[in-house]
Amino acid sequence: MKRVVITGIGVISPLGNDKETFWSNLLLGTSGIRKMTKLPLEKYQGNMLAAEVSWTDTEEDLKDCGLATRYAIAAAQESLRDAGLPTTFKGGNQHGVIIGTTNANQDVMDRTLDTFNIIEKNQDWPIEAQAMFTHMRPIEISTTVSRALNLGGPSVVIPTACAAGNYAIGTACSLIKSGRAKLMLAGGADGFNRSCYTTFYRLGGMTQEDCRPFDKNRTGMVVGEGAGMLVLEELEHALARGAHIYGEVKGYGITCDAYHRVAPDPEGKGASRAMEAAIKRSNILTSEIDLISAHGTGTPANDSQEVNALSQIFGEDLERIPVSALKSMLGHCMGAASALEAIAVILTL
Amino acid sequence: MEKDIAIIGTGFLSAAGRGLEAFYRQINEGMPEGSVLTDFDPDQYLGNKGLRFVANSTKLYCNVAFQAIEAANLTEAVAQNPDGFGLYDGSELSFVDEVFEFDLTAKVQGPDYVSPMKAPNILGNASASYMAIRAGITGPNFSVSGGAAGSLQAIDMAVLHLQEAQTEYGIVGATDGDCALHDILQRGEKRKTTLKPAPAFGAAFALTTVENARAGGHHIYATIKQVASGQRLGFEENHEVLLRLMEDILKQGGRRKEIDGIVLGGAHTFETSKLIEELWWDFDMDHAKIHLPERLFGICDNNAGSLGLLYAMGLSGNRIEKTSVKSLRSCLIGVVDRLGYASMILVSF
Repeated sequence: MKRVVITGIGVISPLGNDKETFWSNLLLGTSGIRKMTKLPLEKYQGNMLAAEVSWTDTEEDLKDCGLATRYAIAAAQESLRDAGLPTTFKGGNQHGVIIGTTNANQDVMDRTLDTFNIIEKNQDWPIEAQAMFTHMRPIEISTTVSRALNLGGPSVVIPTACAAGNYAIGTACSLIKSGRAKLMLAGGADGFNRSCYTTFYRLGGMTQEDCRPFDKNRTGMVVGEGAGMLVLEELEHALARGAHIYGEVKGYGITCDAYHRVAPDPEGKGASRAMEAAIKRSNILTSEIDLISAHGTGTPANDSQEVNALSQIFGEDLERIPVSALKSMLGHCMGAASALEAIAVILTL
Repeated sequence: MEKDIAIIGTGFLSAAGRGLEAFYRQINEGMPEGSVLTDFDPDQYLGNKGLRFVANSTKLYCNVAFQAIEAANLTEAVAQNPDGFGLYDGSELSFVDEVFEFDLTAKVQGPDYVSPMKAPNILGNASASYMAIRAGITGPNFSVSGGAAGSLQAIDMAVLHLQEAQTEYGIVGATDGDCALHDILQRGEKRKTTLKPAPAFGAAFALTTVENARAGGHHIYATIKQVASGQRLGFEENHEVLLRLMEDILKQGGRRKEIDGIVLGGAHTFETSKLIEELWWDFDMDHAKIHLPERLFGICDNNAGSLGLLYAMGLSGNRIEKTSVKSLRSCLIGVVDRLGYASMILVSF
């Protein structure tokens, strides 16, 4: 069985847009959560917070693309540089990219409606608006990264919401283990947009104070954005080129709690089965685990079900194992969340 | 591939009717003038309650997925082993009208006027996650955004999980909808074709390993022997990425002389004459007849791979009237999206 290792990481986040800044801010306990600036504050009631990315790309040919696409390219390029690889490959089917996302390029919808003042459902769209709108397609995230870096292999966008970054990392791992690829870029990307922010606003999921995962008095999550990309390689491939190896992806598990459209199973059955599968497929014991990176959104519903799930799997070992929940600093970066949290774990090793 | 994968059930729904017979009727006789799909769950798998806030694309996905489960006699197996089933959705933009209405309401009327009940509809995994809830399926819940090649990409992911024994069965579906925003997108893309978009339809397949299918006494409609996917690179044209995937499949063990059909989707994005020329001269495959079912059915946004697979099944069973081909032994089914992402499978009958 082939082994899969991580040799590069790239970050665009509310805590900084490179590995070093991201990591030092995490160590300092700096919070990226501020007053929301990317939508008109007066339209929302209360103390509206967000974990926004402060970054502007300079590539003219990407200006029409969605934020997720632009963040993903920047993070992908940084991950390749970090891995000591060129940012242009030679093509072929052995190098690919998989990106998880929640809302993909829905900011393009915002931009199109705002730029062309579209205010009615059946309004005629100018030709320029139609052209701009084509950049909303989620697939554009991975195809743009693939073409920019000349990655000719699998190019996948997985829109599975909060879990999407982990889905991407796991799937990339499977493709390498199956022999379909030697190297994959995998991670998550999401850009700030009106639909996403409004969703959590209307669902009553957002805090108007601090985001305090697992706190008894927690009051909710904060919407964030960003991208996290990892370079995954077949071990032999990495060793042959003398790459620095951050860690190994031992295994993963993916499940669905099949419970409710917007609420997790209070017993945490879906999460516990995913952890159980990951541990089993990794062929390790729970006693060998030294750190748990939790989803920890800070909402009452998520954190309580997650504690139930962790208790089912780890039992008394939970007294010993530290549990991190970085959304208190990063906010909830949607499809990028689990990729950024995976990067933080890798930097912890 | 290590294990051959069997297709053991199918689902189909359009304004022409439900099931495989309706598909053949639509291909052979065309869609009756003025027919529009208005009942997205004629079988009442979902019942009537609680559907007010569920998108039509989700109902359509659920209907064809339930059809595939039923056709494969898996209803009991789902109840007994919900973890052993994975759900896969290859629809990229079936939810785009929902996003538009949600965002338009937030912009024009304000965020306080947006219905939180409609929030789940704006997520790319809305359909597969709703199906999981309704069917009680708790294995991988996987949506992909592969554009026209999305349904083949979803099959690719289901095959990957079956190969790894992450699942015992995969239910793979995709939908194409009649929606206003699709028209705008298509105009924005400036498609160079006189072919009309495909009318709304959904298609789904139930997959398992051949070994499992035989052990369970399932009828095998077709066997998936190989899969490949890749991205068009800067120096390539769309037909060239398909040829590259074909080469990959042949390298994996596909038997050139046994392949007597090539069913392609997304042909409006490349010159078929160039592909045929290279197939003859470089691939020595002039014996394989090329089929372009979108010329009969209309151009698919997500479901070109499903269409290709259903069409190939029809060819193998001598159910397609507008062709001189009366049988099919082994067939490549490939789709390339406008953005150059391509996916291909080799099936035998």
